[in-house]
Amino acid sequence: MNRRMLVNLALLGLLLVVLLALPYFGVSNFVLGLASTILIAAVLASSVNFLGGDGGMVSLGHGAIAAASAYAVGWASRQGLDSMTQVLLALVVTLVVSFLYGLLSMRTSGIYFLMVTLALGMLIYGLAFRLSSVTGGENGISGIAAPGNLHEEWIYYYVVLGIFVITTGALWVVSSSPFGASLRGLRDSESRMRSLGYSVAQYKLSAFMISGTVAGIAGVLAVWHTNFVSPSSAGVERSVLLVVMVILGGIGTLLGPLIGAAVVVLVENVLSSYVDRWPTALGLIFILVILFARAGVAGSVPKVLAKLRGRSPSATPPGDRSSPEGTAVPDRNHNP
Amino acid sequence: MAPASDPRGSGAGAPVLVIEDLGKRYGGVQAVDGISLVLEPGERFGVIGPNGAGKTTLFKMIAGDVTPTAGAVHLFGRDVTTMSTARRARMGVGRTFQISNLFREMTVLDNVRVAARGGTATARVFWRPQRAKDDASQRSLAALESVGLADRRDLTVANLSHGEQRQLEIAMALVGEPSILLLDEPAAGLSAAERTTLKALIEGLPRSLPILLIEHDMTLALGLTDRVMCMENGHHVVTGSPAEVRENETVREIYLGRRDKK
Repeated sequence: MNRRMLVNLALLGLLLVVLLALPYFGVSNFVLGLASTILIAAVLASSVNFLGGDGGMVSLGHGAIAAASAYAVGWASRQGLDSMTQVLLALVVTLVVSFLYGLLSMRTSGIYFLMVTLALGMLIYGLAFRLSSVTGGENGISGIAAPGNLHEEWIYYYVVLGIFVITTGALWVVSSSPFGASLRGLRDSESRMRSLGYSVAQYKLSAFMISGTVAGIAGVLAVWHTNFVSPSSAGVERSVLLVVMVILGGIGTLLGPLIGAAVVVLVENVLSSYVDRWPTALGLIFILVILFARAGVAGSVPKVLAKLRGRSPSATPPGDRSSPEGTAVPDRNHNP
Repeated sequence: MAPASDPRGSGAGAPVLVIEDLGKRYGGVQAVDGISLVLEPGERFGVIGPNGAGKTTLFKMIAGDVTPTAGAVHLFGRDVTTMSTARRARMGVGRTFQISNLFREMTVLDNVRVAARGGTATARVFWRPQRAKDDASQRSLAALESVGLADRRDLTVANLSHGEQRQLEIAMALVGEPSILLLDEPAAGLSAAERTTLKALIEGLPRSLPILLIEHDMTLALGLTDRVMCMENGHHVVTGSPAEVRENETVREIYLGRRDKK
């Protein structure tokens, strides 16, 4: 293990300690709730980040997958089913929806993939509106209670934090696995992958299933947190915000989704109480990042730090991929 | 890392590749017309011809990227005329691309590792990180060693020189232990020095590995192959030993004529 990895691990550990200690800082329930909202958004964004960063498939339909899962919980809760059944139903719905998404998008890539996922998201949005016997139509479903004492803000925060850590860890493992390398191969050249004997569509479908499952988990967490689901959660705006989070944070990085989610959720919830035009503020931040830190926050900070220390960055941190400019140079500390 | 000498069932001595009367028509353009050839085990076969002769279309029909409009392709005794590129690759077809087709944002080692796992179940392992000591990594390092890129393994592809990218193409084609190697203009765009390196690399490949080489540069193709076919405008001109092809009047006209116009 080289020094960079140690530094990265230490930073991750520090972040985890801060997140674990947050309820002990005497913060209000509002702040804890906000932190949970950020973490849930980060789980959802990490599902988009995995597909986009490793697979090169940027989806504009992930908000709707999470919404489908949330609707499953809402419907089951309205039928009086217990929370275990709610989760199981959400899982089934998520898998079915992800499979359909994957099936319909696996032969496309780039902008076409974006369009197919956008259309599928719109379809779910439309269903949420029209299928009112199941979804409650425009009014949505409210009063969806979290099971047991999870309604306590600090307990729920720990549940969300735990699931964030688990899903982020799991996605990191997948991303650094042979399958993850195959996905990055698809991202860089599909024709090469075919000539190596890979069944391109199968890999895309599998990647979509993994990503969709994580999105579904986020959907359950979100609906138990807000106790409410409505068509707007399946709307294009949600999915666009997810992509904004991923790009702000740094696509293909481990902590990019968390950073991006924090920025977007804070602008949406905190800045909006001071400024009416918070989307404008978000747009400005987005433009600045695109112009001056195209690799996103998590992708650019290591580069800037390395530059300040007067040398170019060495091998990319875990879960990271090299910058679009291809500035990575060989890791001098490769051997332990 | 010795490429396997056809473990895939065809009898000893049976041709590796048989092409019968192959044709491809794009609308009104007949890109390839009535080409036939047989590649024997261990043979190195070159296809030469000027730009637009149909070499690349022929190559793509053998690799599986393009479906012929006439004729048939047999690999290892099986009719593969309509088989997908991926399935042909799993049958043992290794190939390089004319314009380097690499995973540009990945490291050199990862490029070869993805190639090494091509079409096998190990490429689907998603529950644990890649290991530096697993089979694919070991074979990849050996392949990089054999093309002289071992010390470049942690660079991203974008940082390789053009010549090194061609070497990496060959490492990726070889690491899967192919039963036939298809090279599509491997020397395209290389400097004289890089060409020499590449020529030595191809000459050093195991003689048991059959090679089909498409090349615009006649000197390189003739120096590397046992038999050569010359094409022009999609048609067959002549097939023979490098010496015969070099002496052939029509070939001389085609090549010298073209060169004069430049």
